[in-house]
Amino acid sequence: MSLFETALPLAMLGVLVLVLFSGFPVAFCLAGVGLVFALVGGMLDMFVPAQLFLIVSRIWGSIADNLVLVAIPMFIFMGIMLERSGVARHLLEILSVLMRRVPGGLALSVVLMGTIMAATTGIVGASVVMLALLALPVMMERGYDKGITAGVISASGTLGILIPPSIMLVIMGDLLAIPVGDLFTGAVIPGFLLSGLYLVYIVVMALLKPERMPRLEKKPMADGQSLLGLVIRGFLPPTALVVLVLGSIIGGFATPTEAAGVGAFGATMLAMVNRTFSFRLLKDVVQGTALTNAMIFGIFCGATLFSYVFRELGGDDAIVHLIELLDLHDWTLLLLLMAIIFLLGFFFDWLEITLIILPVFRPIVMALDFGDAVPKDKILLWFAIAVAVNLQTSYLTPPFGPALFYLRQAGQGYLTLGEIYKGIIPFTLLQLMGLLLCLIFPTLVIWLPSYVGY
Amino acid sequence: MTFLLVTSNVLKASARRVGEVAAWCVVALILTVMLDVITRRFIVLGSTKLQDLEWHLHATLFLLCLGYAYVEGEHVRIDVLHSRFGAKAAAAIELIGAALFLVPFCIVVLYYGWGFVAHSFRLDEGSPSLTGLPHRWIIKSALVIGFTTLLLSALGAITGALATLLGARPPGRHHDAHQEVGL
Amino acid sequence: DSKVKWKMAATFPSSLPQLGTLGKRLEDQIAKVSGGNIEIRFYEPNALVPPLEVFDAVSMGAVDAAFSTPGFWGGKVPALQVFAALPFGPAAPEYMAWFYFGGGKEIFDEIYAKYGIKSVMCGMLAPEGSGWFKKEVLSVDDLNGMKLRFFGLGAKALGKFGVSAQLLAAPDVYPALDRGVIDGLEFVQPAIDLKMGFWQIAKYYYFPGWHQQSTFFDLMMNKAQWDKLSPTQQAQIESVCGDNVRYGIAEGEAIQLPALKELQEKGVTIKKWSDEDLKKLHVAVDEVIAEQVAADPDFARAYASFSAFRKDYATWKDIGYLK
Ligand code: NA
Ligand code: NA
Repeated sequence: MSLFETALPLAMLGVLVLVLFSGFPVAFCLAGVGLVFALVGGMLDMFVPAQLFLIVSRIWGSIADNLVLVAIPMFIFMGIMLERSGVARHLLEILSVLMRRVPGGLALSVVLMGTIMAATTGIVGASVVMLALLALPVMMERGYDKGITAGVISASGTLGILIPPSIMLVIMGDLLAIPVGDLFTGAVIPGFLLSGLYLVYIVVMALLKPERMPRLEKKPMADGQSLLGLVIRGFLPPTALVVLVLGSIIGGFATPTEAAGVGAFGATMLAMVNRTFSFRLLKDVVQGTALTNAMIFGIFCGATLFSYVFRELGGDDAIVHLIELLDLHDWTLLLLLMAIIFLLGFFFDWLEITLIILPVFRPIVMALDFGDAVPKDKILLWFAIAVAVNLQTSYLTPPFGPALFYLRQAGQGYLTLGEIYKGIIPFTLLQLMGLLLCLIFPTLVIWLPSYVGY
Repeated sequence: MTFLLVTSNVLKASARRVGEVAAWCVVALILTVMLDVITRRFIVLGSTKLQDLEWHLHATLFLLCLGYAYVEGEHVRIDVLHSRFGAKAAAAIELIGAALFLVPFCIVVLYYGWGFVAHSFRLDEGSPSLTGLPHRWIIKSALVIGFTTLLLSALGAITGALATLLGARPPGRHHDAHQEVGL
Repeated sequence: DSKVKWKMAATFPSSLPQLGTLGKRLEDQIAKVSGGNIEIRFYEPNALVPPLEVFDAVSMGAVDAAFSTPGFWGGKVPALQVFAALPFGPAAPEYMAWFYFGGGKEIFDEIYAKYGIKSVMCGMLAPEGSGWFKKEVLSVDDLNGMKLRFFGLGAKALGKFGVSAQLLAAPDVYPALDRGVIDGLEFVQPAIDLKMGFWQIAKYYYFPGWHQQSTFFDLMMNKAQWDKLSPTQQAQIESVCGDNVRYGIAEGEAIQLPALKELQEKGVTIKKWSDEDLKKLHVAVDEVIAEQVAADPDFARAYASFSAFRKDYATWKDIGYLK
């Protein structure tokens, strides 16, 4: 490949960063930069107009005609309904009362909520928006540091892509020809490990810098309210909802995607029980859902155009070429691959990255030898989960971390993007630590699948 | 200039109306899912059809609200620097961005999307699973309608920004733009 | 001849035996046979085009080619299903005999040409399994009320037994089967199903795959691009594809038994439908096909051509082959 051929797609990335900081909507910057470079490609005979038809194919075939993504609006609806009807507020109030002796109690409960939600969906947009709606106002009110709040919400909201069931793991299974069950069980320990790292970090920070996560001084109860009353009022309804949603999956009534609908329906019922439901409220929730949902899908549409043009201009080849050029072996190659995936994560979503990396590196990785550290037949599984952890991180890395955008938009009026960028850094480091642990101790990945007996 | 402002408001209002109506698809979606989940155990209603309907509602919901979200300033921006720009600089960015990025995006999708829908119409395309919903061109039209409203909202932003640059009272920051227009 | 550089969108990942590897093989072989003059680059599904969008993409000239099966396009061009696999349909020799010498190819070319596509048969799969079930199914009447993930003509036929066909999103299939939202599913054949890991949940694997005996895969090409090729280049593509059909059949027959053994070691019970069950299914399939014939003239024409051939061929099959 000539230097120019390598440079052109890389220039796309540079231009994108510059354009994004203009403050024009991210979705349309992605689309616009993609189209400008399609035009450049056209002038260099690398692109013909008919190829633009694939933009429509991609928006239709992978974003609209997609039964997984159906869960997103329903989860957003559930989040907004819980927030507007006061159910979420009651829950978090009671949680902060119950956990007032635990350092960083409120932040810990958000991580736990994120972990529970991760078992129902693998869709980051849905869970980040929902956690932001539920927890952000209360955390701000309680005087939590903005950075910590932003980090906790976005990191916990991305756990769903790792903890099964997860669309990402299914697609990776297809691309690598690994049974889905192996990937699902393999991801369990790393997923909980990350969740555990967040928890430890929160407790340590709460002890070292208590002013960033202030404890609740007095009980927020009005006179005559008993703790028991508060628990029944605040705790019972959302717990019933969680039982309903998880129960519908475990009981075999609903798929994980359908469970989002069950949750949205249940949240509406709760609002009715709470006597906060009205047509006015429903209209509010419906309009709010439509707007947030359109924001998320706007990014999907822009991103699919951008990564398509990047691929047509030889971006994938440039990356693969670069890696092959270095001609590395085993551990160094593995680390380089991880570093490249991490860097790609600044610009692309997981699907595009897996499409660049996995098919090409499947045979290469299978041929690697890590001695006694990893049995030969488990290398691919271990590699896949390490990639999955790495890709989860890509949701969080500025400037183009989708989870950060979702948080920014769902938390309007509370957080600026700058504050979110700053707050996410420690969590990105925790993610990298989790990734390193999985690489250094492959047992974390391969033990459970073997134990389950696959 | 009044002409620009009025045009801008009319364009934005039409995108908003479409979105406000399409927003209700989410309620239909939730009910469809509940219907499928509840009835699946007892009767054969044809889950494939219901599951097709689910993504049809999802597609309509997000496509028809793209323009609505732009009018309401809901599309996320990296506003680290943006918040420091003056009203005129912000209007200039909006003008350039909409004219250079958003309008061409809509035109490309509409041009090729038209062929896409027409092809489906000529075939009277149905679900590839045979047991699903027929007449795919109906749902595919949502793509064209959705990007048309996005185009209208882009033209609304362009005329609005032009008016601002020509000295009209600058509209508020994006997230409260709808209060300004007062629809 | 001028050098050809094409992009080929695949509908299955290159990692999957046959479904993907046959496309990958095409990429390799055409480069060798043409001495590097023809380059047909394999793109993973979704890399350029989402799998179910490749028909439109090739037709519009947005990609040069796609590796797929005509069976995917039942919703667009119902007649193409006759050229992919037919329930209770033929084994490979009979299917090829009809396609290449019994008038199939002419109808096939004519149908695709309407959409600006030139297609060459470019692979063949061995018989499929007829499904994975969590519980033993004693007879087809047991299927009443079951929720199965099933596709195409077969799904329609099963509907007549009270089966509720489910679409389900890909990542939901595994948890849905695990938790019992669905009772079973159909995928491909032992060697491929082994990789997909359904044995981890469902322990009953049924045969024979009455809904799909042998399955054609094809290389769809944009007709304008095809017409630009020299006769040599066209012959190179046709030869490599012809060889891919040979390779697919041979490989498909060879790799199933090792896979079946491995599945049995993993605790899977292999079951066969009784003759009586197969008869009932056959009746249901005939009804479905009659509906399709009534609904679409092209389907009717293609199916009539196949049926006529099959009737004559039955005599030869009867005397020519050992039972
Ligand atoms: Na998940
Ligand atoms: Na990122």
